[in-house]
Amino acid sequence: MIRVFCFLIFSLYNTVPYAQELDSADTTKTKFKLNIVPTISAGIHVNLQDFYLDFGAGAFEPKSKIGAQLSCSFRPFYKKVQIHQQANIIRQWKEKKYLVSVDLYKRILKFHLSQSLNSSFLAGAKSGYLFGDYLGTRERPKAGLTINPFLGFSIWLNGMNLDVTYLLFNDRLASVPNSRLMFALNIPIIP
Amino acid sequence: MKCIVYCILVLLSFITITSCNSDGDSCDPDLICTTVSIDSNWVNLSITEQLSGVPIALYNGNLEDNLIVLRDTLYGDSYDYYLPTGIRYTAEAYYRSGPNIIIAVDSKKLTTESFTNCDDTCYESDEITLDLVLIE
Repeated sequence: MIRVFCFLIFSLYNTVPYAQELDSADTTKTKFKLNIVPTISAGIHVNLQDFYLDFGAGAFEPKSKIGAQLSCSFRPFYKKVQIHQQANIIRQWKEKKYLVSVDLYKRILKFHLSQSLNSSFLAGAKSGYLFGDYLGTRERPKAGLTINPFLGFSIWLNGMNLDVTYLLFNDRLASVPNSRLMFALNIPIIP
Repeated sequence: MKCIVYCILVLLSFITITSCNSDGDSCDPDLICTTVSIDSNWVNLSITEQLSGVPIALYNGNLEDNLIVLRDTLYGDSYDYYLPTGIRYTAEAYYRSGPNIIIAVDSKKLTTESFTNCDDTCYESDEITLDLVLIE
């Protein structure tokens, strides 16, 4: 699983310069210049029973309004969870979880909330490797690849985007709903 | 954009300043200093009370190490044990819930820390609570 994930990240990082190389080659008459803006982001995704902190760094292409970033999300505390171990035996562990993901998103349909407040809709997915640990044992929660779509809107706040989205996040816990609200500040690094 | 950079710089400076520890040369004569090394402290087990009692097991280290310190049956909602410091303790509580058995687990290290005050080495240790209360 980890190998597949590493391969995907490696492939993604390699496609970006390759695409630039194709565009710069004089094969087409219309020259398309890829304008990539580096971004950093920080946020949380939360529901009534759980929350994760989320940090990421990546790039955004303003013309196509497509962005990608490498993110790390984690639950900053140990949460009590109950897992069926055998037919009649349930284990109550204290669990911490981490998600290393590649987030792909697109901002669509720009609209104005007010004269000075620009907004757009936002759709994307956090795809990555979810893993964790339990207190007091070497046993670990089931780890694996996960794809978590999100949809919402984004408000441009004089130099940064405030993204408010609904995230469908499957963290493989029956006791925690998959629905979450994600709040994130996405800051383009414009020199 | 500059505003954001300044905000980040101020935040980083604040974190750096507040995370600095006091150096070992500080001296507070009024500070209560335990100069004898603390080798034991209280381990509190917090459980969900059941009329028939809750069997518990306390281990040194992880469960897989299987180093049992004690077994007991608790009839209240908490109980304290006085145990050696410097060890990670893991506790299990066994609850009956209809046809199921729920085994709650928690683990923490009972630590002793030392610091220097007026050329004396002072020791302090905080008791720990292992939370075996069931999820509601």
